[in-house]
Amino acid sequence: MDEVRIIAEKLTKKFNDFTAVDNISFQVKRGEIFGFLGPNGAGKTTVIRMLCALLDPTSGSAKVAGYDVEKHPEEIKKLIGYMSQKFSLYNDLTVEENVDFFTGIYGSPEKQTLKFKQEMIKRGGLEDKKKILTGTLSGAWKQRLALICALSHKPSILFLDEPTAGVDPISRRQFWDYIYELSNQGVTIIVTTHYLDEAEYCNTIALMNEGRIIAKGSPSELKKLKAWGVLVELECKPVAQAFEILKGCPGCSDIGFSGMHLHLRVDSLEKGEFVIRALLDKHNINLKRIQEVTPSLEDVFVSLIEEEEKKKVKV
Amino acid sequence: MNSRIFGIMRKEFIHIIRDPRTLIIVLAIPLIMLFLYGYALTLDVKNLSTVVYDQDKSSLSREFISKFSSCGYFRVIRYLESNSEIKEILDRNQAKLVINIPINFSKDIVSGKPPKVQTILDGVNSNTAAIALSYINAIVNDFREELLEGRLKVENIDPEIMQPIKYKPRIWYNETLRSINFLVPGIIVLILMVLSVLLTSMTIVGEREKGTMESLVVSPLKTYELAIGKLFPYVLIALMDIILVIAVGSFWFKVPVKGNVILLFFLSTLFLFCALGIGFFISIIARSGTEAFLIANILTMLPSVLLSGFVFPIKSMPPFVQFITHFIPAKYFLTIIRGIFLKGIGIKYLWPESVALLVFAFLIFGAGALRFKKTIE
Repeated sequence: MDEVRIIAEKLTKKFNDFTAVDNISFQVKRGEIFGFLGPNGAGKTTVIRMLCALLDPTSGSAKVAGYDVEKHPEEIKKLIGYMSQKFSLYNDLTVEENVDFFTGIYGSPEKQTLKFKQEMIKRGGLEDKKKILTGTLSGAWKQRLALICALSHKPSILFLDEPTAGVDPISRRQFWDYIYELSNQGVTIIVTTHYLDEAEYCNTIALMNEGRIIAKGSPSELKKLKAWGVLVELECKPVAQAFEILKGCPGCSDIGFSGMHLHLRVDSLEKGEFVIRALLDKHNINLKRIQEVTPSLEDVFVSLIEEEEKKKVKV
Repeated sequence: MNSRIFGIMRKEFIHIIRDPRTLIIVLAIPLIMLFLYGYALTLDVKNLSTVVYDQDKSSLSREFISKFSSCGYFRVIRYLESNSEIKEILDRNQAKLVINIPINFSKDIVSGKPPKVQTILDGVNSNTAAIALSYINAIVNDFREELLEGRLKVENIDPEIMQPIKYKPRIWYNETLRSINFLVPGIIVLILMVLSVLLTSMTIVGEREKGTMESLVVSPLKTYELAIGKLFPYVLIALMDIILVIAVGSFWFKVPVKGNVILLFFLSTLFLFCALGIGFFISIIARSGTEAFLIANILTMLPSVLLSGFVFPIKSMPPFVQFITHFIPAKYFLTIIRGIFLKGIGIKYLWPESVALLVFAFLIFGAGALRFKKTIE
């Protein structure tokens, strides 16, 4: 099961002067769910496009299922499945016709796929919707159909580009359940997202910013990544005023809102509490509670990107 | 058959069937254009509104006028009572021709003193005026000869003496000089051009607008498979339209097809590929459906009407414009279709135009394929 399915080495893509993907390297194993997490414009989609052999890298190389993306794009295209955020289905075709179409353009022989097609439709719970026009389906159903279409030729590697944008939480959970099932069957899954909660589903996350991978690891590894100090949560009133005061406080960093509370990073809980309490008391702000919390991916993400920005200023 | 091409074809047929607008375009546009152009666009001068200021009011003057009114080209709508009305009636655009017969018309003729007859033509439309003028000359000459013949007979002189040359004009190919015979083949060219480009100009840009282009480019589908699969249904539709317009042209408008119908159909298909190629190319370069529609109109409708020789003879154009016409496929097809329809000539005389169409079709599809590869990236 440890077979490497995707290898990228020093992969770089430049559009004129703009470097969309900057010298990134990574490996994805068989059955792994590998997520690219990052803000819009971080280069996630460009990476996917290079791996799908749609774009040639400016420098560096990538191999998908053993095929070089530049030399054997046709072989790669036969092996991969692709589903994008926009649910690229034909609204004026019925559910079944869409599946037929995507089966057709992958050149799968009819007889073999016919049974598989029915199975897929059944698996997606779309059996009673077979004859319905795709345009009339709701977002979640369309998403299921898009996934079925992307899987209709039994790809061994599946690319998901922001797959659950605009889908309700329950359907999103079901969607990920199914992705896990695929992963257990040995399908390698590459997913891009800017939803942090979605990234938690991945085995490995590569955090991307401005074309570079700034951190990589499993969600739990990433959360431990920040060695400096501890993350604390404050409950205080009025919270907005406290935010303004603590923003400039020495020894604190990465301050941000988390719901009705504040998150910030300090050297240690004891030292931090002392400084913060003193400062807030001076401004007559009531500190109800201060406690250490495990950082969410969001916290890690925010602090890593802030660090990057600071580095850039120094340079 | 290649299952990928078949898959695209099947999908494209479903699109066409589900969208009634396509069927309307396919059936209504050719018929509307054919009937509209066929009836409205006529270069013949018929029933030209004419007023007469007959100051003589004699039997001879009435005979002279009846020469005009009985020939079908002129229609006498009013008789004037005074000279001053002439200018007003022309200014008001109520008549195109005024015939002014002097007071002593019949008396002068009888006494051998040639009366001065005046005709005034509205020359605003120079084309119509020139044609009308030639009719007027012919009618007046006829009347003159009749009078002369009568007089010579009275004097017992052989009228043959008045004709030093015997002259017999004959017209070939379009013997009755019906302008509809000349125009209908041109309209067919126009219809095929507009229709094919309109149908195909949405094929690629439509996928892009729907967001389905991505699914196609990540699949193992090759460019030629996509092109064949997408265009085939429209080739079928356009072939049906070729049959439709040729049938309406020959059965309804009674334009004779003197040449080989099979050859006509075959060369029409060749032209069809040029037109479909243009539409396909537009569809690849356009960024939106609206843009595709605009480019399609500018690139096909205008040149096909103005620069193909449809109405305006290419030989009368300035050299630079004549040079441009070499790049208009409609020009070549027009020569072909008029040749087969009216002259009944075959491939022996039409091969240069056929080769030109073939070359154009190859170039436009080649350019499309090259451009398509780039736009994916």
